[in-house]
Amino acid sequence: MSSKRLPKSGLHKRIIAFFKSHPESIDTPRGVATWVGCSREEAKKALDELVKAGMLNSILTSSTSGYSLKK
Amino acid sequence: MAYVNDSSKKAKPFDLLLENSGYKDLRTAFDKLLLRPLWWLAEKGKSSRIKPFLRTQRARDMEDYLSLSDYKKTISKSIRQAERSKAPVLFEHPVNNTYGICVPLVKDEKTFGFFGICALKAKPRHGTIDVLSGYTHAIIDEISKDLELGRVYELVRPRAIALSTVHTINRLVTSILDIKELFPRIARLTLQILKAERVRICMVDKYTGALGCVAAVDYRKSKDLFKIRTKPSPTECKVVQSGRSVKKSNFLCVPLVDEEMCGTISVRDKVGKKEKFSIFDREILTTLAEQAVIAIKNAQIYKEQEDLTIGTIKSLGYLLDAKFPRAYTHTEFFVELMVELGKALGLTKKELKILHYSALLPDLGKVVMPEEILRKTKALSGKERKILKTHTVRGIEVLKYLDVLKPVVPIILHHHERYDGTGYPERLKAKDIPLGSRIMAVVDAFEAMVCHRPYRKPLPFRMAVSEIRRQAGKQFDPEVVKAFIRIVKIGRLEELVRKHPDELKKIT
Repeated sequence: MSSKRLPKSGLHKRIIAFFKSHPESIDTPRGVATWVGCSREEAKKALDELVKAGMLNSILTSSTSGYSLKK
Repeated sequence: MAYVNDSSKKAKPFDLLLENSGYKDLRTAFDKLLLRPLWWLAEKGKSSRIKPFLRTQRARDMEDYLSLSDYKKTISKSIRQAERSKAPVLFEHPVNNTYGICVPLVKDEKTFGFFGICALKAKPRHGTIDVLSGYTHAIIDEISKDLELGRVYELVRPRAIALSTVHTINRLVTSILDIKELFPRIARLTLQILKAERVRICMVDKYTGALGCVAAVDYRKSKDLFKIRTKPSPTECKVVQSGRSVKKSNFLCVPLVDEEMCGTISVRDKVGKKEKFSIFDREILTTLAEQAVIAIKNAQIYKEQEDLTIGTIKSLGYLLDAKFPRAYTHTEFFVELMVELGKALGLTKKELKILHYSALLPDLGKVVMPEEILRKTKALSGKERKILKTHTVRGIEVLKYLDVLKPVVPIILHHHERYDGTGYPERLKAKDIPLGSRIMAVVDAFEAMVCHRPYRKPLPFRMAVSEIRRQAGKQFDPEVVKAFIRIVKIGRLEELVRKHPDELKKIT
């Protein structure tokens, strides 16, 4: 996804705002859902879209995924 | 809630009171009752700035109309009185003989402002003053609670986020069992959480006791430069010896301690340069180090177990080979080609590991075959072939006692099946044959063609590849053959052949 087509929904903005204000944070979809106030599923979808857009990093393991702001 | 948005972090009770909807309702409710007086507010210390509390509906063309600024002197006097008494003050404006009220706004016994009414035609009753004052203080109490809750929220939230990060990191590192993958993962996570430019992990060698660097990431030169320096710094050696962490303004180093000293993890240079490492950073790195040690230990135990399994199989192969070289085992070329083909077919790490194990001893069952058949250099008779064909079944009888090798049993049992269903031992057909067996069948046949045999010369590389291609759909799975051809085309097969020239020639 090119930078011109970044996801721009309110949830995407809230997630980016959360990571910008806590750049050291690495969290699971469940954690991010708590901080931005949405369901785990919504957070997971938005997080994956932001990873595709190149704004976040994701670390996938067999048990969970961790997301953080891309440096 | 008031504390959710960032602007409220520095909000003052006076500003919150101005925005409070309950307070605006109070003004609306009393406005008509008191015949539309002038409502005002003043912050403490800024009594010269008496602000109107919402725009008044009072008609400007009334004969006795005076604006709020006309009452300024009287209001200022009443403010001083109210500040002293900390109680509502009733005052009279001498110019037009109207009345006014001044209520001090008190929070935690401190006055932060004043609220009042002026231009009241009739002297207000004490009850009215009490109601206004009481309602005002009820709202101030509500604002105070909101502010307090906001303060707690701002205090707890970053810690909760940090705790959540630590918990996530714990999950991310403890789920990795590959030690080579683990060290860089820990290094990068450390950089992320501590907002540092450089990180280094050093481990104590359990045999020599020497400290050596196992992972280092440096973001100064490149976005993702992975660099290993073998020599630890004197500070890292000191941390290992003392078991105590070291904190400098641009450097943090903490020991990795389990039952004994394992190593160190150190970070340098905060991102942005101006920031320094704090005690809080040290606490975070110490917590991270504790989790890292558990993950490292787990991965080390896992690797030791894996090495033990492979070592056991290899030792068994070595013992058998001593009697009949290459009768039971295959070449390293065979093992590597199996894994390479597995990768080309997109197998997972776990599946590749099983494939690797199965490639180490595929013909173990030959151990119970008559020696004269194994030693025979001429073509086998029909009866001898029949006996030899039982080696796959006999092989799994040996392996079934080793729990860790159970997943390889079907691969070894069926590696002589043919895709068209004419193989042995069970004449399985097409996808009924386990994928590992279908891979092994191709590799086994290719190795047999390109290796020396006592009764024939090896086939040239290209001819062997053509033969594999020709047997797609007959002896071999067409998909496996496709993957095999892909490996040939990218030159990987040739690389492997070149890597093991002597090994392939030596086979007899």
